Amino acid sequence: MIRFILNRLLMALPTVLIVSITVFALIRFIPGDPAALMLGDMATPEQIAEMRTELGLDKSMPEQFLVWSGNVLTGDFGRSIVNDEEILPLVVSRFMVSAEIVIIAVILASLIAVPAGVIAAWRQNSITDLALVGTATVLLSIPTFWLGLLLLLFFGLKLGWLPVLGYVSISDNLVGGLLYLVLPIMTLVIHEAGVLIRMARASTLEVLRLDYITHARAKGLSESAVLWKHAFKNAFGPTWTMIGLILGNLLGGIAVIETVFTIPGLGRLMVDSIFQRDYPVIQGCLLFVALSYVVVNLIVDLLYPLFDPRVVAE
Amino acid sequence: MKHFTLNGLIGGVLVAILLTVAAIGLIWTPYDPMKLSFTARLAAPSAAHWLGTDEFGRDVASRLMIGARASVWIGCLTVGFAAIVGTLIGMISGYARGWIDGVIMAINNALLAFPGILLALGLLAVFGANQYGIIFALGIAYTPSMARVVRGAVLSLREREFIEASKIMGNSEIYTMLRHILPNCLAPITVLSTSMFGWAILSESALSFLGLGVPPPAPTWGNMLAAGRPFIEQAVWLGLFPGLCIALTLLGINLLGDALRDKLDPRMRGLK
Repeated sequence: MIRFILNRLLMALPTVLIVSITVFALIRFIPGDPAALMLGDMATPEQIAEMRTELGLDKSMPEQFLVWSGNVLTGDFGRSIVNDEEILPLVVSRFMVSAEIVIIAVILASLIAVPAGVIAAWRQNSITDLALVGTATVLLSIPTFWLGLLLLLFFGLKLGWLPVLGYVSISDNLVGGLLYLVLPIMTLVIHEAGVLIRMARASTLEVLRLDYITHARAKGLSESAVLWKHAFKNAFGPTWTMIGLILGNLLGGIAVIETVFTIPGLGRLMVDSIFQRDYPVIQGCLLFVALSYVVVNLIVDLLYPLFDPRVVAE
Repeated sequence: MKHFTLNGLIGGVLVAILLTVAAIGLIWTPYDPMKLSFTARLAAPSAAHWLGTDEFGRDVASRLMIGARASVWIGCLTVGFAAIVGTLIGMISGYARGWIDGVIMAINNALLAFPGILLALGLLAVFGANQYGIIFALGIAYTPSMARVVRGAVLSLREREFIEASKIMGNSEIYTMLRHILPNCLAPITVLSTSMFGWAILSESALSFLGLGVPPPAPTWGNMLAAGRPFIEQAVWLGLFPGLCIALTLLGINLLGDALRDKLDPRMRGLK
């Protein structure tokens, strides 16, 4: 077990390294001199030269990378060129806003979708299965930003039940904050449930064909015991991995939801920084989300043996 | 079995409608999609304007047709880029094995560690937010998935007897790759390309919605939705039709993709 954990941790190291190099290199690919871009059109050549030294641009690429990664390791992500704010605290505070929405949404979607997928597989090719798979396919085809707009239009503008614009943190005002979260979370739950129903169904179907299920049935076990005690346990693995992938993807792709519901999360920060050409902030967001994606997948993998002990033996 | 072919049929019809509308949009639209008309601002759907007009009095139906063209065009180029580059990388990696494979796959897996849309956002910061920026950004973001799938297929194929036979017959490595390995990888490439076409259309509309895609006034479904957003209370159709176009297109591609996978992926056959 310890070997499995160490192995998995070691495997993450090259990924982290290459992810950091990619993020570092990406910003260097931007055409033009970053120092001149940061200072704008009015800068004098002296100011640009000074900025280049300050940013370390006069050093060689490997040297620049070492300095940059050293800074990142000590928590120094640099400062925003738009408002001189320190980047790490900014990114972390925005990340908390996004993470709160994404984590609640993924938990709720899993609670709804996994049982639905298992039932669809159990009733394969019945009306129930058809209805569930059909609904799931329709749900995952609806883009979240459109679904969000429709929900906003209906529950916010037509019925007036929920606030339409703005955001209040739950730590400031629990009930008020929750009201702002209902629609974004509902949007994500509806969409992601579609993906998860299909995944849970496919992996359950694969398990239900196996001999030990026939054996369990032949022993005279009830269908619910066969399904939940025997099939579900082995079928949950791929769905669990999928949940991890969705969690990471949502952290990266939440910008559209945050735009629809005007939520000041990490996605919105990144998009605004792209508009403002605030490269250090873009870099900080990219690195933070990519690393959290690696960490989420690492946690998912490390917890995998709880559902499927075979992976440790392998 | 029957309803799965029905799925394929519905998916095929939806995708065919998309392609037809995009093709018609090339030569004819009911109105000039760019023509402003301040007398016809925010007009509800009627016989004159089937799907209403927008905040500048432009005909929504005509703009959706041009938007379909943009989606199809960007989708095809993105998938084409990812399919060609990804297949090349995957074939080299799977065929060469050894340290070349090790290095290529380490980089590939690290790129897969970025959520696709995030990598695309980062690349857009580099390429600039426009139509070609999107194609490159999404194309590069999707390439690692294609490379991985192709490499997997090549790895299992290269151990088969007919590849051995081709080598014994004296065929060059490149000939063997192109003549014998590539055609056998086409099934997984087709299945993945179909899904990617859907991802590309969704991502393009999401990026355009964020204002990072094709810049207005050129219409895309995503930027029409973004532009219509402040007016949706008085003009529901501005929020309704562009989204419906995206959703129906994605539904069509998803259904078609499922049907293709059932047909081409032998592992799925026993399940259905």
